Order: sequence, then C-alpha cells, then structure tokens
Amino acid sequence: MKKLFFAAMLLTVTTSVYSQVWMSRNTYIRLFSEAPLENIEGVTQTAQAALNTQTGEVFFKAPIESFKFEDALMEEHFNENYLESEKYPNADFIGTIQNLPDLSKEGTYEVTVAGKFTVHGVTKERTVQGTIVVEKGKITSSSKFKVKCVDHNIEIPTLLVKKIAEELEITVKSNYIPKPQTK
Amino acid sequence: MKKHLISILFIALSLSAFPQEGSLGDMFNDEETPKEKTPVIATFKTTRLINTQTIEQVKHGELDFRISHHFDDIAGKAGGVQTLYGFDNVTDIRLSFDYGITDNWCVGFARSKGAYLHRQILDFSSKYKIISQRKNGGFPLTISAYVIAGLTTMKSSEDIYAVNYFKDNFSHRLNYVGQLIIARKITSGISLELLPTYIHRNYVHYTDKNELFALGIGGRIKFTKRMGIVFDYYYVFDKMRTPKNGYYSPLGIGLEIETGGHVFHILFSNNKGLIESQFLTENHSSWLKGEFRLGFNISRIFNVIKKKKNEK
Repeated sequence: MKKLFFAAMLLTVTTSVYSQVWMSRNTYIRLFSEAPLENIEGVTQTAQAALNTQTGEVFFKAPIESFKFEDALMEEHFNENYLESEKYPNADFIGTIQNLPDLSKEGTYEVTVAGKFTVHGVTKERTVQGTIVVEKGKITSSSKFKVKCVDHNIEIPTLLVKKIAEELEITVKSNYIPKPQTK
Repeated sequence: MKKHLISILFIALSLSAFPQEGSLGDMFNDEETPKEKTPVIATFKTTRLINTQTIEQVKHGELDFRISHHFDDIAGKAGGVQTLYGFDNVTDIRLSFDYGITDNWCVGFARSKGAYLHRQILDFSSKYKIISQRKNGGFPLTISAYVIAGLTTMKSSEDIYAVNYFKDNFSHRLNYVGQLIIARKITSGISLELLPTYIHRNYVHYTDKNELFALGIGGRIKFTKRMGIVFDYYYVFDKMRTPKNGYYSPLGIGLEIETGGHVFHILFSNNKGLIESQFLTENHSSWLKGEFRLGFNISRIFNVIKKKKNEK
C-alpha cells in the first residue's frame, strides 16, 4: 500500500514539474502616445500574465495605478481624468491562442491571440499578434498592438488633441515561470 | 486494495492533468499578490481652494505659477453698477511661485498687493506632507503642515501708534502663520479638510493680540472629471473678532475647472486679502451686506525637471 501511495505521489509530482500553466508577476507594459506637441510614455513592470501551454489560454492584467509617467501631473491625470482608476482599477485581456504551437519544444513562434480586452470598464473583442519564445526551459512572450481611446470611452478634450494621441501603442513583454505547486 | 490503488491513481492523475480549473487569473488571488496600501492621489486638484491651502503639494521638479485675484465688493456701499459690481478695483492680487523639492515638500515665494493695513507683502512658504491617506485599510487621512511668513515692504508710517510704523524695528514688518491640514478623500468626487491654524503677528494695535487661533474647513465636490465646486471657511477664536465689532469670517465658494496643466477657480468670497495673516485677522466684509467679490485663481504647472524614463 505504501509503495502504491508513493507511486501515486511521484506521479503527481512529476506531472507538475512539466507544468502546463506558466505565470508572470513582472510583466512589462508600455503605453505610448505620439502627438504633435508631446510624446507620452507610461510604463508598468508589475502586471500579471499567465499562459496555459496545453489549452492556449492567455491572461494579462495590469493595475492602472502601477503605470509610471515622466511627470507626476501626467500620472495624476492618467488616473483621475482618463482611465479613472478608482472606478476601473485594472485593465485585462483574456484570450486564447488561435494557432497554438507545441510549446514543449524550443523555438520562436508567431501566434495570433483572440480574446476580450477590457480597459476603462469597456470590453472589446480583439485579435492581436504576438511572439512566444521557448528557450532553455523558459517561456517569454511579447506583443505590440494599438488601442483607440474612443473604443474604450476615454475622452480627450478638444484642447488637448495635439498633446494626446487618439490611438495608443501598447507593448507587452512577459517572462514566465512555471506555476508553483500549491499545497 | 486494488480499488484503493486505482482511486488514488485516478485522483493523482486528475489533479495533475487539470491543475487549473476556472480562469487563469484566479491563481493571482493569493498571498503573493497582496492588496497594496497605495497612497490616495488627487485629494484636491491643486494646492489651494479659495483661500485655504490644500494638502496637495507641487510635486518634485514642478513649478506652480499662480495668479490670485480678488475684485471689490459686488454690492453694498462700494459695489453696484457704478463700480461695475466691483470690477473697478482690485482689492488684492498675488503672484506666487511654488516649487517641489521632493514629492512631499515644496517651497514658495510670492508677492501680494495686500488689502488691509499691511501692503506690498512678500511671503515665503513651505509645505510638507507628513502622511498620506492609503487605500485598502491604510491610514485614513492625509496630513500636511504649512507655514508662511509675510514681510511687508511698504513705507513706514510717521505715526508711532500706527500698525505700519516700522521705523525702530524691522521685525514689526513680519507675520507668521502655521497650520496643519488634515484631509480625507471620502469618495472620488468628495474631499474635505480641516485646518487648525496659528497666527502670529509681530506688531499689532495695542488693543489687539499678537497671537490668534483659527480653524478652517474646506472641501471639493466634483461633478465631472474636470469640474467641481470648491469652498472654504475659517473661524477665528477671538472674543474681539465678532460681527458686532465689524469682523467677519472669510467664506469662499467657487467653481474649479481643470484643463490639463491649468487649474482655474472662478470664485466668490467676502475677504479682500489673499494671504492667511491678512484675511484671517482683518476681514471686515460681510456676505450679508453684499460685501463679497468675484475673484480668480489661475494655476499653471511647469515641469522644470523631468523624471528619469523607465527603461527595459
């Protein structure tokens, strides 16, 4: 009986080592707005990301308050006037990789991800291109796409159209670790 | 026995084959992602309401240039259509520069016309944020300390009994005000603050006191993201300073409009003077007698030092 129990235990342990769920707590996301009078850049290094290599599910979540800007007033306006972070504290993306490659093998894979993108309380169906790199037992992913402010009810006052772009460029980079086994 | 083995194996397999039931995001709801007690930002939009300071600072590397402006009485004896409801006179105007040395400490320099017995005033001020209100069960209040020293540069009176007789003592030109500012952002639209205030004037009339205490209250109610109502009021604890003796508490109310970098106040207030040592001690204008005035505060933030960019 003991032996069998150990066998079972061993089985669980070994399967969990080749985890299919990978997570990242230090995902980098950069917002970039290019407008005639001013370029604005906001960066967070503490967004969350997760990836299921079997099902192709992906998950990203960024606390709005964690974005840092080059001056404090921009940061305040970003939170107070545009993203309303007290009402809508996070932006997230939940989707599935459409052309899921075999991520147990090393390589660089171009993927297409379709899913729901929520910012400022507004959810949009989005299809986004990205790259997944599997190397030496590590997985990293990156993606670059554009978001229209108007799609997410983010109003830009007419006075400021020359300072804030109508379309922001979003860059996302994640380094994943296998999900640690919980007790 | 075999049954046991099979069931154990089955459980083990099922556990490992489906480690994730439900959303991928759920695994972040654990003790490794604590609810951070982040500081509450933007309790007020700018460093001043109508007359009072707010707990807000000019942040590191920023310069706040501010023009404050009060016209004369709208109604009452000095107002009415003859003076175009006070537009003919400016009772006080103050130009100020405040610079943020750190995110929690700023210093300021200003010059005001001066509305009462002391005129042509230079002032030097400093504000320090002692503690911030925090989210998720953190500290509930933001507390700042503010001090301002005023120096009148006016010509001395020849009258030895006048409060603007400075001939034998330079320090008679000086006044000081210190206050604690205690604020809470109650909701994203409503913020309130209390201001226990100490006033010291070096040279006063012989019937008056050098030291006075006052309590201010101020607040903001936003009705859009960029617009709101602001108001403030001070009560001065002094038996002599009563409406019977012609002293009134300063009360201001105004509209606050923010346009990305600028903050405007269009306001009505009964005090003529603009700095604390003046409007708290010498306000003889009463709302009920029509002795209130239109005023403007305009603030513009300039970035002197930009933060280092985040690189990866």
